[in-house]
Amino acid sequence: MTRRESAIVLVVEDEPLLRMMAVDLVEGAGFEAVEASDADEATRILETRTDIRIVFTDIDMPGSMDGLKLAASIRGRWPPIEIIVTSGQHAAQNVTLPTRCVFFSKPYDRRAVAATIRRMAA
Amino acid sequence: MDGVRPNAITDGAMNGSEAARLAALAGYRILDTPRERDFDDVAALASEICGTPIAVVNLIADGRQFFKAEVGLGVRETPLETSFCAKAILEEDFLVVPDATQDARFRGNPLVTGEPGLRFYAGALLKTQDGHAIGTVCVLDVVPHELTGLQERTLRVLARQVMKQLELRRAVEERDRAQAQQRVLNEELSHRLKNTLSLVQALATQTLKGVAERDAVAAFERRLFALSKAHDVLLQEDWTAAPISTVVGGVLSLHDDASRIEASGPEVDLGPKATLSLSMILHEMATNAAKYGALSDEAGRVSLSWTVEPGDDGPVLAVTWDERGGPPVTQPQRRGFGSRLIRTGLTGSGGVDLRYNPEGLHAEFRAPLSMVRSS
Repeated sequence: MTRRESAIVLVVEDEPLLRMMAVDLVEGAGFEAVEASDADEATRILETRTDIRIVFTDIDMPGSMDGLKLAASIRGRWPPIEIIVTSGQHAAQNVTLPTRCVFFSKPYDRRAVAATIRRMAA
Repeated sequence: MDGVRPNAITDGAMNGSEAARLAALAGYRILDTPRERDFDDVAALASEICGTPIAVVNLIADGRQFFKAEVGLGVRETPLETSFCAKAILEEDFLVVPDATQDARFRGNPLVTGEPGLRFYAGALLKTQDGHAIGTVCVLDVVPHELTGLQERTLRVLARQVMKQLELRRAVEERDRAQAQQRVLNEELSHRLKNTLSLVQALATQTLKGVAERDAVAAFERRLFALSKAHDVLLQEDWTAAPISTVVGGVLSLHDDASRIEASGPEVDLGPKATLSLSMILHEMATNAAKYGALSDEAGRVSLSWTVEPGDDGPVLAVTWDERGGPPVTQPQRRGFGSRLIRTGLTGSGGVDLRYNPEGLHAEFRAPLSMVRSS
């Protein structure tokens, strides 16, 4: 994996307000954010650009895939990408996550998420 | 069929329509279920006490009879056409046929005229509370019999016990189903609640983006997490009551210094309201300890303990927060929201004793156990 000065984080969240907050969080942590409102859009973005290092995705989203399926698909198709998932519905102990995948329950601690992004980008 | 009406049941209609009877039977979800000891025992006992080679716990379904338990037949189901029990359920609650060859209703039955040459039948009805006859506990033999009073009473008692067994199973199943449904609703509610709390968080952080007092914004967010955590704990316990250790563990998990807070006490169930208040209080206590108290330097520790003590009006829950080893303590000048929240106590009506001892803050929260459990 090539090291970049500033990693690009793909934020996947269907709720605009939450997406806005997540984008602010990513940018506030010093990274560039790219937005998608569902897993299909996220997949299209990942298929067209190669500079996404981290995906920060909600689980409960409409569309053909939820965030867990998206995470599994990313782990299969783009193994180097780091994944953070969040959910208000699932609890950490009830979700099966791909390897190297970090879970945050909603509402999440923005500092803790930012710290995770920094660690993953390092 | 030699005088046996192929579908005796449809003529029955003694307790409403046959459809209603079949619906009542279906409600017990017993048809086509595997053998079970509870029912096998009934058939075995009926056979033994009545001295017959055949005994059956029989359910009369649509066009067939299903043997929930049987002795001496070796099959689980037969058509209704030749059924003695199909006749029996037209009776009041008991049918005895000492010798089928002498009984106009049965002498033409192929099971009497041919193999296995049945002669004797006695059956006690399985009757629902609404009066639907759904089957029998019955015994059969290939030689004629008389039935003693004890044998008849045994069959009647066994039939009632089978019926009770079916009723209880259904009740348990219905309760389980209702609970499962409630759980789904609770989870949905919790999901919505957490999403709403997330939206509140997003609204607050967006609205307060330009505000210079970042500490206040952060304090708000952390209080929101404490509230959310308390709801998580309540959801795990179906929103009824939460063990105090789970409540304490939940809220302390939000704090980086949790390892320096030693919590201990007997298990006590807290009601939803007390779960929320204790969570919010402990969150404020831990926050203050980290800012000004024992957890604000490396050495300090907190002992959090609770006991149930006798009180004038019944048992009292006493929660003690004891700080040690931190910087010297002085009483705070300003009474902020956090300290006001702390002073509302476990049930919202005080019962809080705060002592700013020089060696460390000592706080006690007391409330009647009955209020803490129910509220």
